[in-house]
Amino acid sequence: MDEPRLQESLDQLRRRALDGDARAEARLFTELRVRFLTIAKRRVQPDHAEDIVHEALGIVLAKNQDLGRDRSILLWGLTVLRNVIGNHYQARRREIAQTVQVDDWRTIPEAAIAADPVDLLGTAESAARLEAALAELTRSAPRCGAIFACILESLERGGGAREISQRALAAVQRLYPDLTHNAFYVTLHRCRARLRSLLDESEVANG
Amino acid sequence: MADRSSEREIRPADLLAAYELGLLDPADCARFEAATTDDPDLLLDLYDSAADAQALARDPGRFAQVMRAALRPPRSGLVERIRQPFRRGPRRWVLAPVAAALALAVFLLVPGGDESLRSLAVLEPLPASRVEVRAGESQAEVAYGAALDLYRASRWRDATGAFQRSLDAADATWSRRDQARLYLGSSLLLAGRIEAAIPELAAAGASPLPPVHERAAWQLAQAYLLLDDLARARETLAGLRSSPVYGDRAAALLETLSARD
Repeated sequence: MDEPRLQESLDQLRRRALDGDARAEARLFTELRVRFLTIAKRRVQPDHAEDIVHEALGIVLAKNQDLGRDRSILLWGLTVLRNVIGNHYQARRREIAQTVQVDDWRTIPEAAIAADPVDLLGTAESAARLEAALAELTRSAPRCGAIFACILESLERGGGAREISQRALAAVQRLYPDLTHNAFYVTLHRCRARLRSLLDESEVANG
Repeated sequence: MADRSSEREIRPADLLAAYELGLLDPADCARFEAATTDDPDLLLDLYDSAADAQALARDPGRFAQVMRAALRPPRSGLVERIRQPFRRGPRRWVLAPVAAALALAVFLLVPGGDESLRSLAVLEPLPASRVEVRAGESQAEVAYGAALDLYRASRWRDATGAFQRSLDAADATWSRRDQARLYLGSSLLLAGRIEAAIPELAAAGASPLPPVHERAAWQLAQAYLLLDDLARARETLAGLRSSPVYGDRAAALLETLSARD
């Protein structure tokens, strides 16, 4: 039977689970599983999807206690899933290299060591790529740059979501007084699309 | 804080960026998360950028600093326009002599100063990430990785030779051929060898990958401006109008060119 639609956020659910609510924990993992499966079915062969989701959920469950209470469980979980899928593909490549081209020494180094699925936040290289894209965004779309800068500065000062959001909006409205709360989110969304486009471009050099 | 009650309800998809950055209150979070079960594309979008979003939220000070530096108002003038892209890099003290040399080179190339069509050209290096070269990779791949390192260090002349070596060593199936030609063309352009840059950039412009052909077209347009070839510069810029990255800049440059007619 289908679960009734969730009325609270996944992070609220997680906080209840961390406080010992077993039903909240079960529901949290049901919600994560649905989403993970949707992605896995689109990213790997269907007969591997369940295994991958199972592995990713196992990691999330094992590390859930250690993750800060203010972190987004969905974003973090999706990063775990991404790394599990990455490892799956690396393992497949290694398998092919060893079985099909075992006599070709050049293929063996390509059998890279699998990434740690919990090493979530990327390499110095990806941070540098993000920095470059943000700088380029600021130069090509100054309004987007200003909006991101206000948000990052507010995040830097800390606080809860509401406080960070209000402070960022107030800073943005000093620059763009006509921007309403909802328009702020919509503009931010469009700026994010531009940033993604720049990030995609920067990946081109790496193929 | 603005009163949201009078505002039209926002679509959940438009909350994506705010969700990623942790700006939403629990009710909006729940609304957005519910939408991710109904809209697989929205969920995939979130999945694809989850690591970057977390990096921003975890170390906002680092990225805020980059934004503050990029937001500093530029001074006008040719030298400034040429130097500006270099200022974005973290190792400004290393790049400053290169920028100054390049500025000088362009002054020598552009005796007409700001009155010339050439003064409108924007010379800037392309973003380039480091390529991890593993043991046993092809000669072309190794040379390409080394060439990108030189490019990132603003050593345009050395990069030119290295990119050429990667292309010489590559077989017909090498997947980075278009990228190597793009960066070779860009290195030649930044080294002041404009005519030599054109065929490389034009070849990269035929790439099926939009990020490659758009970058190539942008730099090709700058090369044509430096050569005072208004017709080709316009034609190339016009092809970039629909680009999500270069569209605005191409339109602005075309407008400037029209204003000079």
